[in-house]
Amino acid sequence: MKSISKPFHFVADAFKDVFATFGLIFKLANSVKDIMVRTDEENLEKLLKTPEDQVKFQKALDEAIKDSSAKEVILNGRNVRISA
Amino acid sequence: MLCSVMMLVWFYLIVRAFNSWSPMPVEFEIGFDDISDTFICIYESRLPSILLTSERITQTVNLLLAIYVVSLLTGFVFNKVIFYLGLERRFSFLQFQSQWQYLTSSSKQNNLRHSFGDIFYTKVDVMNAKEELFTGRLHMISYDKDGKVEAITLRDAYRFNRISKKDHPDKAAEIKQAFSNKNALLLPHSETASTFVYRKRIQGDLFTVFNGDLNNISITYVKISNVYRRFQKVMRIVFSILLLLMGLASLVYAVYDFHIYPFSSTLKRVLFCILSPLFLIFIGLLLNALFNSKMYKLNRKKYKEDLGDGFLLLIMCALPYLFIFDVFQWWLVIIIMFVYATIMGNFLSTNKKK
Repeated sequence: MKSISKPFHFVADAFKDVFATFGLIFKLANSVKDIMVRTDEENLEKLLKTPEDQVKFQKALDEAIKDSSAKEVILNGRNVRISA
Repeated sequence: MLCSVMMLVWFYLIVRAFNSWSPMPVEFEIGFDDISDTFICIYESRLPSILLTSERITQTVNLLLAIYVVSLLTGFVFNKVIFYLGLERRFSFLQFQSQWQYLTSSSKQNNLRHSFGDIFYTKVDVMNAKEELFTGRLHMISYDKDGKVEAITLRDAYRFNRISKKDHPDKAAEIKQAFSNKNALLLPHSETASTFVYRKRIQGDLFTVFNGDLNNISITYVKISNVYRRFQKVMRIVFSILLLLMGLASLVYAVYDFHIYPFSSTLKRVLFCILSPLFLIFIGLLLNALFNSKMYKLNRKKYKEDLGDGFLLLIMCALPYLFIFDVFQWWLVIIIMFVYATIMGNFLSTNKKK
């Protein structure tokens, strides 16, 4: 039984690797949007993914409007400047 | 009418330029004599000669289709280039949306602080007839059939609420306790000795105020800068335009053989046209991973993994060229790709983690 199952496992692993490779190709091809010009809406959605970032953004924006000056805040790991 | 004439002239120039450059000129059986004859026949209320036989009708349809396809592709390419370079916001004659659309979006003409490559959005404060104040990101303005504003739709909308501290001291304290840094449902706005103002998120993705209910509207252009470095902004534009031109050239080359390279079959030419934009995408992703200095400084292991995955996938994407350029037979290329994918699967960072 061992001698039959070994090649079977080898072929199964080979197919698994092939599917994983093509899956990664497809996933990476979809990520091309990250290196292309996008609309402001898409850029903003990417920047404000988490609820914590949304709160930080709103607070920084409120301060920028009140003080009429630019505020720096870290959103999605990027140090950005907000002004109004 | 002017656009139609411009498209016809543009089509003529494109065909003329193409014929002077290409070893395989494009020829339409319908010439100037046929076109002038058509106008004379219409004037004399006779059936034009280009519609007399099935062969002539086919030639006419081919010419019209060619004109429409060139117009469609030209419009698509110019629209994308204008978008990538932000030209519609710089030059009014390139604007293709309504005036309200351009008034409510930041541009050099209405916002002196407007700069290329930064993110802009329009914050709108709207008061309705009941003097309720709402604020949010402008999503869309709807127009009626006469072109007047019918409704204003906000995204991530909030409603302002005012509490008198004297009348409801407990409520003000309760709301302050509900503020959290982990969700943006309740946000403080301002506080004085007697009043406390806060914003409450309106549930749902979009909130619409209709024109009849609209009292006034305040527009603020919000600028988010330093998202990308100048080099990244330029590279995005260059890559986007390159991919657009490559996609267009591949599409046209797949349909019409320009004889740039003597492919041994139509299938190989079509495969080349399908594969080349994909290859360009992977080169772009590999270069993006290579120049990702932020990742290099923060997580060198992930940087090397991304680079390694990108390089392996680029080679995988290049293997079909062995068949396209007649190096190996198709069955041998499939075997090579299968073996390569099997071996490569052991080196991919996603598989290693599993």
